[in-house]
Amino acid sequence: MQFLKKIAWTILLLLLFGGLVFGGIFVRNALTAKNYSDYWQQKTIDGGDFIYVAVGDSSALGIGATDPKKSYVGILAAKIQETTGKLVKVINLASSNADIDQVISVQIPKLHSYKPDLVTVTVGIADVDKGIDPSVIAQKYDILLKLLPSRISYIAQLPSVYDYRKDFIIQNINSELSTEANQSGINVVPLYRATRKESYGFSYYDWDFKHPNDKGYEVWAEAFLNVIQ
Amino acid sequence: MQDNNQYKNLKEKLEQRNKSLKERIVTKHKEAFDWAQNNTKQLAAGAMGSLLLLTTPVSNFLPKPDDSTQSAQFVDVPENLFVITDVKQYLPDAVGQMLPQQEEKISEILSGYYGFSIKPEVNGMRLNTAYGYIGLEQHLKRYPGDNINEHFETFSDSNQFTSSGMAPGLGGFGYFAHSKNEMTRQDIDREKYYIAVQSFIAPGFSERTREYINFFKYRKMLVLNPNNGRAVVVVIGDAGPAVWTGKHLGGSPEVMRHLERVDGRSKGPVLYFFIDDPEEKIPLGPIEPITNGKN
Repeated sequence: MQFLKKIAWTILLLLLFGGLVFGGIFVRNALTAKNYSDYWQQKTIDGGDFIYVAVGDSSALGIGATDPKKSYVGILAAKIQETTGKLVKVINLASSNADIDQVISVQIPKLHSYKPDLVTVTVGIADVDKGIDPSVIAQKYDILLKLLPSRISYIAQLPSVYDYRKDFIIQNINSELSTEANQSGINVVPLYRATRKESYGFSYYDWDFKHPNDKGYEVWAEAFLNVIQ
Repeated sequence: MQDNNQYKNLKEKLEQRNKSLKERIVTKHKEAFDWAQNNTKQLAAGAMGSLLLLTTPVSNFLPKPDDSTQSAQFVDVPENLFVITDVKQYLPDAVGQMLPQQEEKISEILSGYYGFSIKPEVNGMRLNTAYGYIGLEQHLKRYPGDNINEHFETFSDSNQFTSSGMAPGLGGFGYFAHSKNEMTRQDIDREKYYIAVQSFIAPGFSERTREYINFFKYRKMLVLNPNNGRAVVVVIGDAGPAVWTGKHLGGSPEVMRHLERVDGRSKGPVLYFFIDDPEEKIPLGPIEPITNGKN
């Protein structure tokens, strides 16, 4: 009886600890999303000769990075400024947990009010997490691709993840996305291949094991730069 | 007169069957017969020993054979046994990679027994292996909103398979149907008799992803337990298991029950080969051999 009590207490404490960790990460991500969103909002008032518009989900905001400048959007802006010598104005329209529908209905109309030189898109993982059928996600991508300005838009494939089943679904969607993007004249960033190795290692992820960390975003930025250049 | 003819026919059939069995025993166990011919001394010593044992008084206490044991001598030998013996000749010692010759021989044998084309490779596409460890998978969501309480058609199925639970996410190919109303008999059977294979590590998958996904999606396969000869026609309905598990494929609870791979170890070797069925004529589910293994 005493032994069973001990086991019950251990399980209870473990659950409590797990709940605290999970809750803590959730709150931290929510606060980071707010802070990073505010940061990008501030950046829109900066002047610049090169207009870079980023649309997408929390990855475009830079959740998981220690600083928004260390997100892939931040790294790309800095690199473009460095290589072109032009002052880059970043307009980041992304929002945390955005799915493809939200990007289409909220972010794309805003995008059309600018005359961008570059558009980057990272979205879709929220749709996968919601359990939406891969064929439906592919249809949503198809709609999104038609709304993006051709030539200057770069849409990233979904990144590789450690969950093999989800990873297979992602590969399924990515192959559809690549075909559709080629037909629409939108550039596809092979993010899946770029993150394939890293997704199985601890050093790629933030504490939530979902978003990339600083090092992870460097991999993302490199994948974008390889295609943009 | 008609009765006599029937007995005559039956007698002829039994004689034919007897002859075929004798031929097969002699062909299959040729080495044993050769050994017996060349080792008469050992056989004689064995026979003497047996005789001494049988003549001891203990035999008096043994129960007399009843009718059931006498009739057991005439029990029909299931074809599954022949499948096992035929296939075992070509199975590698270790589970995993099979030599192309072994795959070819086994696919020939299985095609002969089941009466349709069974192959390890179709149009240059294949899995990482055709002989691997199978593990138990959960039920898959067939349509948005599917749950374990609404999943089964009969009370008996519900009793047997509810405990396996339902996978929290989607299967690798998504839902089997767009909605409950649109679900067909084919969708139900596909989920019932599905396997998960490691398509993601199939040779060539990363180079030809779209082509491979289209090929693997609901592709019919024959899964055979080489230890008991039980076989099921299944479809590839999911991706998995993870490589680190040491398993090569997973089976739905219904598939695992039929293969008798539910012994608690949740892992056992099976053979799995593609079925060439372009006209969708071969039904999913348990299957028995139809011939004696000879084309």
